[in-house]
Amino acid sequence: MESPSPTPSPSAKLTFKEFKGKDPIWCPGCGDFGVLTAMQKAAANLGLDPNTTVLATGIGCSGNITAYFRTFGIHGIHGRVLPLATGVKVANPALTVIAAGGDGDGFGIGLGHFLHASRRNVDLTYIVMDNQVYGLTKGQTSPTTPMEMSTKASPLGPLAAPLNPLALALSAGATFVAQAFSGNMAQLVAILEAAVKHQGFAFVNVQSPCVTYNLVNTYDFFRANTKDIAAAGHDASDWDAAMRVANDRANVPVGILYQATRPTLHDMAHPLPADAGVPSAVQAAADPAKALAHSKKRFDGWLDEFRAR
Amino acid sequence: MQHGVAWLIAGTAGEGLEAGGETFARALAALGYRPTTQRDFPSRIRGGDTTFTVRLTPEGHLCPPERIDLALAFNATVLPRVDARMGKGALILLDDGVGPFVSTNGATVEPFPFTALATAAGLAKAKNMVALGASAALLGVALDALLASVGDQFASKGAKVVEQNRAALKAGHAEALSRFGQSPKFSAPKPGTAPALFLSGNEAAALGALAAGCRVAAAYPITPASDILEYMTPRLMALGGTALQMEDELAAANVLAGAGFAGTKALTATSGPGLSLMTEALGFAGSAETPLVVVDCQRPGPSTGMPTKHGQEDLWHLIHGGHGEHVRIVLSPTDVADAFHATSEAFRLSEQWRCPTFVALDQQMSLFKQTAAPFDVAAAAKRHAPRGPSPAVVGSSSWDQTYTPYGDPGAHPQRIALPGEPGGRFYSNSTEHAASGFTNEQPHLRVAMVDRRLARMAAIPASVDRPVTLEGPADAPIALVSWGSTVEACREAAIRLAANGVKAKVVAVRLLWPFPRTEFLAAIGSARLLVVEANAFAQLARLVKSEAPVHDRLTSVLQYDGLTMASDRILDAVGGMA
Repeated sequence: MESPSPTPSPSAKLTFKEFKGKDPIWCPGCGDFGVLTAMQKAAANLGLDPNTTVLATGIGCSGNITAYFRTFGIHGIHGRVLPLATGVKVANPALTVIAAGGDGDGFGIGLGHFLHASRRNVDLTYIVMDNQVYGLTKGQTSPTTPMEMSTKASPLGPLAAPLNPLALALSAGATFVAQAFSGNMAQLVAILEAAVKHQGFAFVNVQSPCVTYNLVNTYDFFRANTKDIAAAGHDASDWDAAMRVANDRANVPVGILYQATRPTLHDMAHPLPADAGVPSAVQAAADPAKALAHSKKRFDGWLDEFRAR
Repeated sequence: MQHGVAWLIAGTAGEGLEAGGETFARALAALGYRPTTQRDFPSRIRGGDTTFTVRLTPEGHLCPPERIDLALAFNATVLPRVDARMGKGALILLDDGVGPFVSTNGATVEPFPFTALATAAGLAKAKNMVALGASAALLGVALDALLASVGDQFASKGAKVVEQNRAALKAGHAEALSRFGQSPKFSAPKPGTAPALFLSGNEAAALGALAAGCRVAAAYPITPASDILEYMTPRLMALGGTALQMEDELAAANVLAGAGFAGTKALTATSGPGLSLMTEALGFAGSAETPLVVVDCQRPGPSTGMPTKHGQEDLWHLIHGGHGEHVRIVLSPTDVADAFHATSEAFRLSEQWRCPTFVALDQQMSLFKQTAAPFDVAAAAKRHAPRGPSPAVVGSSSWDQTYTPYGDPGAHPQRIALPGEPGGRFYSNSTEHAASGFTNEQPHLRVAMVDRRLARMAAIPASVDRPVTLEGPADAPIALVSWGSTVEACREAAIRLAANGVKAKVVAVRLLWPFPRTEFLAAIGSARLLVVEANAFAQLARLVKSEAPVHDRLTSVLQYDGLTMASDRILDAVGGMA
C-alpha cells in the first residue's frame, strides 16, 4: 500500500456544492452558516481535493461543522483542535489541514494550544467562529465577551476583561492573522483562500454572530462597526501596524492584519534531508518490515550502540 | 549464591559517579557478566546524594540486591544510607577527607586515596576511574576490558583525556592490589560468553517503536519517561519521521490522535501525572477508534508523588482511567528485552483493534539497565502484516452512505479509510455515532455500538502474544503472580526457593487489559497465589480477584516505599505462608 498521493489537485474542480455535507442544525440566522458557505466556496475556488483535505474541529456549535463539510474530518474534544490538527499535518504533510472551532474552544479551554500553535508555525488554517458567547451550553460568557455584556446564564457578565485574539496571535508569532465578518461573504471567502494558501499557521478570527445568546454583537452592530483595513491602506507586512490595528478599540478591523514568511514546523523539524528514498511516515506504518529493510543499516547501528563492549 | 555480588558508588550528584558506574557495568557486560544497575537519585540537577549500584548475578534478573558487598563513598552525608545496606564481611572505601566513619552494621571501613591518585594521574575528576580500577581488583575482574571501555567512552575528548583516565584506572587497580592482596576479596559469578546488549527499558521500548514503523512521537518532559523522546528524536529525523515536544500532555495526546487518524503509528511516553492529563484524549481515541500507543513509565503518586522513585501504582488508571467505557489494551512487559517486544507489539494491536494501547513500564525498567540477547528487529517488524488496501471504494463517502467507517463487526475490525486515500471520506467522531460516523443517539444504535466494543474486548486476549506467561514447574504448589519489572524479583525468588527445595512457578500477567481470564486460570492451576507488586492498594490482586475465583488462596506481597523489590521480600512471604 503506497502512501496517499501528494498531489492535491483533482482532475476536475469541484463546485462548492460538492463540499456540502449534512444540513446544519444551527439556529436560523447563526453566523456560522456564513462561515460554512465561505469555506465551501473557498475550497472550490482553490480546487481542493476533498480526499486530501482534513477538517479538524473542537467542541461547540462551531465544532459541529465537520458534519457539514464533505472532506475527511476529525471532530475532536473541547479545546484540543490545534494539537489534533497538528498531529494530522505532521503525520501526512501532503494533506491540506483546516482547524475550526469557537471562541470558548480556542481562547478559553484551549488558549494554551492557540499560542503554541502560533509560535510553532504549523502549516494549517485555523478558523475561529467568534460569537463572544458559549452557545451550545446555553449562554455563558466566553473569553471574548465584553465586560458590559450579561446573559441569562451569566447575569454579572464575564467578571474579566475580554481577550484580544488578534493581538495574542501576533505576539505569539503567527505568520498569518486576519479577521472577517461572516456577514461579508466576498471578503470572508477571499481571506479564507489566502489563509489556506499561506505556508504556515494562518489564523482567521471570524465575527460570527450568535442570534440567540448575544444580543450585543449583532449583524447590525458589525455592519456599523467593521472597518476594512485594506481599504484604509493597512500594510500587512508591518507587524507593528498590525498590532495597532489589533488594538483598535473604536472599530472592528476586518482584513488581513499580518502576513509573513517564517520556517514552518515541518521545515524546523526536518533541518536535514531524511535518508534518500526513505518511506513516508504513513508508508512506514503501513509496512514496517519494508520500512525496516530500507533503513537496515540505521537499525544495525542503533543496536550496535547497545552492544556491550 | 543467587545474591552474587553487589557494588555501589556513592557521593554527590553531578560528580560523574553515574557515568563511572555505567562504564563499569558496560565493561562487565562485555566480559560476559550479567550486570544490572540501580540508580537512587534526588529530584534536583546538582547536589544531593546519589548512589549507583551494579549487581552481578548468574542470571542477571533486574532486581536489587538485599545487601551491598563493596561500596565506594565520596562524601560523608551519604554514608548512613549506604551503611544501612551493608553487613558483616562488606567493605566501604572512603575517599580522602571523608570520615572517620564507623559502620553500625559490622562493615569494614577503610580510607582509600581516590582523589589523590586521580590528581597524580593528572585529572582530579577521574576519581571515579580510580574507583573502577580498585573495584576490578577487589572483584577479580580483568582490567583490560575496562581500559578498552574507557577508551571508547572518552575517545571524543581526545587522546590526552583517554590516557589520564586510563592512568587513573590503573593507579586504583594497583593500589587496591597492594592494600588488599592479589586474590579478589569478593567473588563475582563466572562470566558467560554470549554477546549481549546492555540497555534500559526506555531504550528498548523506543527501539521497539521504531521497528514497528512508529514515525511520530509527541511528549512532554517528565521523569522517568523523558529519555524516550530524547532517544527517538534524532532517529526519527533520519527516518523522515517527526518528534515533537509539546506544550503539555494534553497536546501530546491529541497530536497522537490526529497522527493515528492520518495513518501513522504514533507514540507518547509519560508518567502518572502526564497520564492523568492525557486521559481525556485517550477516551477520544477509544470512541473514535484511533490507534495510538502510550508508554507509561510509572512512578509513585498520587499527584507529584516521588518523581525519582519506583512504584507500580497506575494499573487501575491504565485499565479504567477516563469516563465512559471504551476499548483499550494494556501490556506489561516483564524485563528490558520484553519492553522492546511489547512496545513493538503494542503498535500491531493498536492498529488491529483500532484503540489506544498502553505499555506499562516502571522506574526500575525505564531507567535501570540489564543485559539482553540482541533483538531481532527484522522479526519484530515482520509481525506487522502490511496494511491492506483501503476498504473504501474510490469516491465513496459516509455522506452518500457508500462508506461506513464504524460498520464492521466488533470482533473483526477492518482497517479504516485514511485521509489522502481516494475514497472513504468520513469524519472521525467521538460523539456517539452510527456506523456511518454521524452523531446518533438512538437507543438501538447506541446499544449496537457498545456491543461492538464489548465484542472487541472479548476477542482481544486471543490475539495477544503471550498474554500470560508461566515459568517453572506447572504443578508447583506456589505461584508468584506479578506484572512489570517486579516479575524479575519473582524469577529470582523462584530460583532461590528451588535451591531451598520449595517448588514455585512464576505467572506474569503481560496483558493486563482486557484481562486474559482463560490464560490466567490455566497458568495458575490450583496453586496458592502470592501476588507481588509495588503498590499499597494491591491493584493487580484486586483485578485478579475480580476476574478469577481465587479469593481463598491469594496473598498479596506489597512494597510501596519507593524502592525496587528484592527477592528476599518474596522469600520472606513464602516463608510466612502457613
